[in-house]
Amino acid sequence: MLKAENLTKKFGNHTALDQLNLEIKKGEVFCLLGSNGAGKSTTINIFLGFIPASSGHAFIDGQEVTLNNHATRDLVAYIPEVVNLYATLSGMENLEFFSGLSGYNYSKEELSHFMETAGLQRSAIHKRVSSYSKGMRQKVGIAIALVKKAKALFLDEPTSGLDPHASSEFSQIIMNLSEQGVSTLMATHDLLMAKNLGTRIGIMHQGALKHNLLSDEVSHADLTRLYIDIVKQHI
Amino acid sequence: MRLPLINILFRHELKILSRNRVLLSLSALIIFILVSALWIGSSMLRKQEQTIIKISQSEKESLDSLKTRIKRIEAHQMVYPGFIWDDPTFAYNTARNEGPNYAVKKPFPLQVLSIGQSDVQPFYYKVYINKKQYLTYESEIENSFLQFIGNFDFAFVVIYLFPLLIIVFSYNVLSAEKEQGTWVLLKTSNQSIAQMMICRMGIRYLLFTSFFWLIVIPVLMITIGGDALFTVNWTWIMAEVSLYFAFWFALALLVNSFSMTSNVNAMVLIFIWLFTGIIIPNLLQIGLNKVYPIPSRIDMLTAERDAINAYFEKDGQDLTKEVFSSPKSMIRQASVVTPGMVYGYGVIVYKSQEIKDQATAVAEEKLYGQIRKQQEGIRQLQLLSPALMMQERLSALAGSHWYQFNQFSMDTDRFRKKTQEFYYPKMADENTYRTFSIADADAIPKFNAKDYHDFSWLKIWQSFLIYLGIIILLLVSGYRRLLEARK
Repeated sequence: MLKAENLTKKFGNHTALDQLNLEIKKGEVFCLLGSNGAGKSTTINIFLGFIPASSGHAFIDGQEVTLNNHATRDLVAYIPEVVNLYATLSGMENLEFFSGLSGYNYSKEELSHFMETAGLQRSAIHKRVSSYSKGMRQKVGIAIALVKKAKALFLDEPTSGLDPHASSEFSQIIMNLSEQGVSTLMATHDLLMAKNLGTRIGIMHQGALKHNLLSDEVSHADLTRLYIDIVKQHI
Repeated sequence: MRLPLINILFRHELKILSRNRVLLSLSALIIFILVSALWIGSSMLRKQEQTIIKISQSEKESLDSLKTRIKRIEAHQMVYPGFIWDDPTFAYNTARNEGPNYAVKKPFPLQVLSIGQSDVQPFYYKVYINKKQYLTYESEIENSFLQFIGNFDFAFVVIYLFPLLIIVFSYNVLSAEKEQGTWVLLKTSNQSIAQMMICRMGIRYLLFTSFFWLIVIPVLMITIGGDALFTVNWTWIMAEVSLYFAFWFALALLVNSFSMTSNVNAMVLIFIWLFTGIIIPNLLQIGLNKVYPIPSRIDMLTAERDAINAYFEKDGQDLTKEVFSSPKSMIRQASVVTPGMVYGYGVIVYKSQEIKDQATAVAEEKLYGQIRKQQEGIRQLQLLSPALMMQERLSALAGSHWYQFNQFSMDTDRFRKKTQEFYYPKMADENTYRTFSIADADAIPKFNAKDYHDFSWLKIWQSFLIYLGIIILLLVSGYRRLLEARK
């Protein structure tokens, strides 16, 4: 579903991403670990078409990602660390707007259903987003991904700052989406979440993918050790 | 772009704008100012209309009184018991006293929108035979103050205040998305950001302009009636104002396309507003005043008086001697004013008028010639400033432009000549100087009052198309830049 071939990104003399090769199959959850500046967000930004690659190629469902390729954007959804929405609109109005932009015309009832699937309580969906907690905004972000029927989900530190309960709820939703065949690329610092949620785990350092592990084949302790070793090298 | 998407964006914009309290408060304030400006313009129009009604009544009363007195004198074998200079059967007396009629520029109803020159230029003159124009417009003294502070009217609100409101409406269409973080979600949609932004700006323009006319039209219907809204002038006013608003929205789109912060966008737009609306017009005014300095009105009057004095010191001496030595006038023998003396004054006024008019014409040419050159300069350079262009167009379409007042002034001058031609043969002829009859009173020339709302001299299409071109250029440039704005 997602494929990176020798993906490289340079910002001036600095190489943010160095010859990245990666493949994420349908329904897989790939968790990217790495210290700040390791290249996780750059990878996601290239897949989303926000920035162009300096060299190499990124593919979503066989289609190459370029800045002006609208077709690949039909396939993706993105949940950043903080899902920022239109504060003066309600969660429902935000969802209606973004689903409309994606070309869908759902009824209010259908949109409510998506909101509830994403974990947002019915009583909250008509309140203004300015009154929402971070977790509630993340759920609206998930609902946006649901209405788009995205085949690939990109998450950038999605549970950062969420309380354990909200974080657990979030993980459950991602797992549900995975079961429905949605491929997920998630950048995170949360090793435990990566171990529990990811089907595969990558550890990046200085733009390169240093480890590409099957989640089932690595223990949490080993994962922690590997990660710390990488971070130590950086220090 | 598909229609449903425009519909989505339209509803979205409506929600976003209607929930922006700052914008709503500011809009309410500007609407209050707009309605106030229309009310002020309308009050001024009413005042002028009332003055014109009074003038008409005064003319009628004066004519009735004149005819009554002539009739009484004729009934008493031409004996007038009062002061001889008031005897209306002397053509010279009537020409000097109640005979002069008024030249009136009727206010065009759309003048409520643009006071223009209508507070500076007289809209009526009492036209005497012996002076170019008696300026009876009493507020002229206070007008210099009004000219200094500028007029508060619809045109002022539209030209200077509305661009500020448009800036508030449009300065952050793109930057706000980035600053509030919704930009990333928009970028992951499969829509073209450039099309989306141009569409949103277009929707804001349509909402803004529609709302504006929805307020203005009913207010005008109430204040000046619907007839004025079925004129070509009104159609052009709507087109010009809508184009002016489009210019500011298109400019805002271009500024947005540079992907700067909201603060920088606002500063850039306000600077452009200040530069094109205030600085350029002032620089042009200073420059044109340097190139074509306008002599003061006092210089004109002094020149006229000097010419008259010079005339009477030389050529006029013989005329005075001839007239007042004549047995007819019996000036030397008279211890009281005689009919011949009235005749003599009539002859002097008639014969000296030519030299007075020549002197006035030279002095006037100095004054009005320079004003004309300045106006021509402004007309050529106005494209540098949208505000200046709008001021010119709105005042012309409202019938309050300097050019239109100048047309009125020229018509007044022609009317004065017609009045002279009516009185001179009567007052400066030995056989007719005291034969002014009721029939003559009825034949005193009357001015054909008009509202001078013609604007064919303006070449309005030319500047309209130029500005339309500029707007298209701004939109295309903005669109091209926005294509790169996804980064």
